[in-house]
Amino acid sequence: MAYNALSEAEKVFILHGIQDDFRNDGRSRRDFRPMELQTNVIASACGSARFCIANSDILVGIKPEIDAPFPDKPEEGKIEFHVDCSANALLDFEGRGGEELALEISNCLRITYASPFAFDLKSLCILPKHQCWKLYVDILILQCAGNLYDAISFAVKSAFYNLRIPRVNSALLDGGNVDLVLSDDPSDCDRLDVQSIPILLTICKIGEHCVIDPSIDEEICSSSNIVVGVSRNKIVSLKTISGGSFHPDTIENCIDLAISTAKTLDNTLMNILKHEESLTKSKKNIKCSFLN
Amino acid sequence: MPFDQKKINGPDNSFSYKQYIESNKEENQDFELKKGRKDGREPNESRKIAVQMNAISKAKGSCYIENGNTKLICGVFELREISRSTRYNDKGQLYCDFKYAPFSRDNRKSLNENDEKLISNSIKTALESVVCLHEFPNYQIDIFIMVLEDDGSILSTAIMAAGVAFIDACIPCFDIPASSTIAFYDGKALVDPTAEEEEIVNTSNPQNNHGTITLTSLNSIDQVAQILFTGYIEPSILKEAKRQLLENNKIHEKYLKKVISMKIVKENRES
Repeated sequence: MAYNALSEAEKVFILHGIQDDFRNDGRSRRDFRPMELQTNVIASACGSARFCIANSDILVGIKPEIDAPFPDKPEEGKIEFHVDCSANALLDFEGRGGEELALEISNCLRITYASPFAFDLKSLCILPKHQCWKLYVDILILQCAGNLYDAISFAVKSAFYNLRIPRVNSALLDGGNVDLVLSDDPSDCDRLDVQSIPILLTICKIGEHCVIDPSIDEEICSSSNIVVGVSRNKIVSLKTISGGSFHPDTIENCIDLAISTAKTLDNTLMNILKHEESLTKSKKNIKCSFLN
Repeated sequence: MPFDQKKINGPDNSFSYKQYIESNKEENQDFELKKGRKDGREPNESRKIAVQMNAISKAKGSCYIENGNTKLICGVFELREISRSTRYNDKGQLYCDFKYAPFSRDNRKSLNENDEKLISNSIKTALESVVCLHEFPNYQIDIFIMVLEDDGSILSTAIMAAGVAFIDACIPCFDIPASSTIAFYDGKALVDPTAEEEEIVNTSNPQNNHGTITLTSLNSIDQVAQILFTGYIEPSILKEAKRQLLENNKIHEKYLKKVISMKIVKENRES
């Protein structure tokens, strides 16, 4: 994924560390690095979040727009993911360098959110056959220190939690044209149920062991990476990234590891989001900068 | 694909008449799948595969494959050196271009560019662990795949075609990749789904445990090269399906080996 000069001796050191369940930064194989979360950071978006895992820094903004539904799915809304790799994150991303990775990540999110049990597009319907909400999810990678998939999926989930769609009081069909009556109060909004929104977990096979939350150095040492999408203890997506094969039994280990990790992580994330919301509710919300 | 300006697409807000056909309604489709598969296959029965090597004369190696009604053609071209402007690579690089022909599906408009990219990315991932890339430092190998008719299980068919094309091109490989697809309908596994079955399972009216999984394996070295799953499923069902996919891949591999050895025998006799 990312280029980093690493000598053979360094690679062996990382490999041995993982064998002994003691990684470079002192973590065990099943530990995540410290995470940081902030929602409602972009004033012009309806839902936004900034999420960091160590130095991997992701900014997500969601904007809804009114659109006509697909004729073959008249009762469903639309959702579109767009990933942008900033050249500040990695020099490799300069020019068109990040495009391939960006496309890979947005496609992975698309298949993860595809099932109606993971994300219900019917909740985005305004008037069947005529109008629906289309959500544009824009993801910006500000810094990259490995484990992008996980960081992005957490950031997107947090942004969905923060998302407020303007409430439509009534939608009427008037001679083929749709009349929408929006609520006069700008704080009168609809929120989505984020309980079932999936998260992604990258499982990295280094030597004989499966590791979660790989750092950029560990990603280079890995023989194969599997991204697992988990929603409420069910698997929603499974994808191998960056070439390298593995034994069939590894898949089962990966799935078990992903399910158990996702369970705790998902609970923690929801608790933190609720806690964060209660903090911002009390004080007056002034959005000027997220850098402080 | 260039836009055909002479084709009359009809008014902007018009759409296909097909969604009004009774048999296409969701309830009917569900009902039919509950009775059994439309083409009379058993749930664990694959369609018949036919492979022809050396189908494109201009390519270094090529393969035409038919899996039931799914037809595609794959070409592997001469190796070329990566230009000096980019960084030196110890390993060879693969470039995979996967395209649907405009006439490959019922609906011409539904061709989704992101879908093509996702599939070509998955093919590339699979082939990276099949081809001996360490033997071609700083070289790029181009693979072009064109789908002539899409009737489901497209990814697994494409990976097998690409694997055979690489062998036809005499590029060293670790093994012949064998790949198969399973669609889940209400927790039940349907091997080698058709396009219609894939659509019922994933888009029109999904049941609780639904989805499709494609798995590529290298049987002689007991490795898995690629997995792609999308849907919503209990982990235990997925694990069970993995066993079934590996079983199925063994059958495919046997057939591919037979095709390749027959071609070699034929060539030897001619020369």
